[in-house]
Amino acid sequence: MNGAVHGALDQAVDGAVTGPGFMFWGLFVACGAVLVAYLVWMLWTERR
Amino acid sequence: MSIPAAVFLGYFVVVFAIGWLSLRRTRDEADYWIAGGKLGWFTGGATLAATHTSAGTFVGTIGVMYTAGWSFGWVLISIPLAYWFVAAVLAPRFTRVRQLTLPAFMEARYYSKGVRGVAAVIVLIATVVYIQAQIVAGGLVANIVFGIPTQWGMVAFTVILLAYTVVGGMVAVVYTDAFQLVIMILGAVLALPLAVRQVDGFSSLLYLVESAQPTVFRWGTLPGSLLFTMGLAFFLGSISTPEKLIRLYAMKDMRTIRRGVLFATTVVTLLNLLVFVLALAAIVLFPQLPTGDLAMPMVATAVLPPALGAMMLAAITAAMMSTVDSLLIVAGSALSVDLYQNLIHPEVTLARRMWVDRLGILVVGSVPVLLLLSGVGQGELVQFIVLLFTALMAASFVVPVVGGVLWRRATREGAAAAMVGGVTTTFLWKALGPAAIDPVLPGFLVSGFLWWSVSLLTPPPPPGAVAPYFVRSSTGVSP
Repeated sequence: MNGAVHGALDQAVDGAVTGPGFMFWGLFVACGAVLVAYLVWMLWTERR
Repeated sequence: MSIPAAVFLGYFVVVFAIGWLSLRRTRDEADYWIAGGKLGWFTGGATLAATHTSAGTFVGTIGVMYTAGWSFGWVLISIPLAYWFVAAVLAPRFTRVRQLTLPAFMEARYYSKGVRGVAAVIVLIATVVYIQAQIVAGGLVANIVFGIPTQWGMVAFTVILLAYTVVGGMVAVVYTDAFQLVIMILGAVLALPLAVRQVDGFSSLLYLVESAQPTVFRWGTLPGSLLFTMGLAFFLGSISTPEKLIRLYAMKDMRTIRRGVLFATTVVTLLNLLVFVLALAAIVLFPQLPTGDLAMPMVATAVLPPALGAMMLAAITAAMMSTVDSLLIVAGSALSVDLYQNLIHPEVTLARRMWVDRLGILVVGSVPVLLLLSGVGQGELVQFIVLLFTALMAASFVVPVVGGVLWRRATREGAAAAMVGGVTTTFLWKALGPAAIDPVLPGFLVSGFLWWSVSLLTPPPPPGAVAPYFVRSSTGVSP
């Protein structure tokens, strides 16, 4: 399977592949941001 | 014995042992239905996360992403936002008077046994059919792992689930859920690096996947309206389904709920992200699958070593079982507490209640498999209602529950109209409406409109009935 993967990888790098970009990484950042915001809200609520 | 069979047998033995040990901690009805309302943030959060994560996460979600690409992943954002809403807005009011069931809350807030009955019937029908579909999936897994006929697999799956749920009630469900959550996390965490290694590492995966499916990282693979309404369905489903709401009663106080919800939402979010990346690996490794639903079983059986593949299948089974056992609690309590003890035979003695409770779970757990064995409910009908389950729950309960603790003027007539109207609209939209809009949106809007307008047209609620939800107070468990 690895041989086929290498072939496809070469083709992908040579072709018009732009990479994942914001759509991919943005989801991780957005999920992390919501969870951190929840944590901050929780600590703030409990300190009141 | 084969390695997968040994892994599964070990898994079932642990689940059964936890259920049996829970019997000692179940002394009364509050223990049986809401674990005595004493859960800490870890057990409360773990059971919430395990209940949220169904086989849909490991099979259905990965299947949609396999077909539609990464844009579907953005629907995930609605889940942590929904749980934040629960912890900040709903839970502080909803838990002021602790009940044993969601229909009991409906009776208390809407001062009507009839409203409780309607809620119980909706819960019972939707849940029993949903359980039926899960049992079919359990039978298929048993067929793959043990080589036994699917029908025997369905019976075995039901017997194992009923054995610990009937005996230990919510306490058993909570602790088996925690164990099953560990299995799910282990399955996903161990499978991911091996699957990624098959495609030469993470960075090459991201390029290869785009080469195999050029639109994978582009918007527009799903209509924007569908993405939005699916996000809405996830949001509303996360805050309104009875098996999740009842866990708020099971945790001991608001501080515990806030922490438990943070734990649950973190685990659910991370598990989903892991599964999303596994979907990308499946696109590269198996680009020609006839249906996306085969992506995860293919990763489990063709990519992972036998023991790990069995672990992955056990994770899928754990996701399924931890959701079904929670639904058994909800459906069993709707039958025995809300319908039988409340409406049909209110004079049942305290000594008999525990037996009636157990009988309720036994009945709602046995009916689905008996229907399946007699050939009723197989095929499209079950799948049709499974897809509708979240939409139905959201359209029935979000407005009366959330609105009920925010607006004093809401009346019993408004609540009944909202539930019936929401359910009817959801069914009609699914059957006749355009597929680009999830039925949860029209169901939710009609439910909200009926709840508001009918409430204004009917006499206001007695002040004493709604006061507990609008005045800060703390009371014990009231059955």
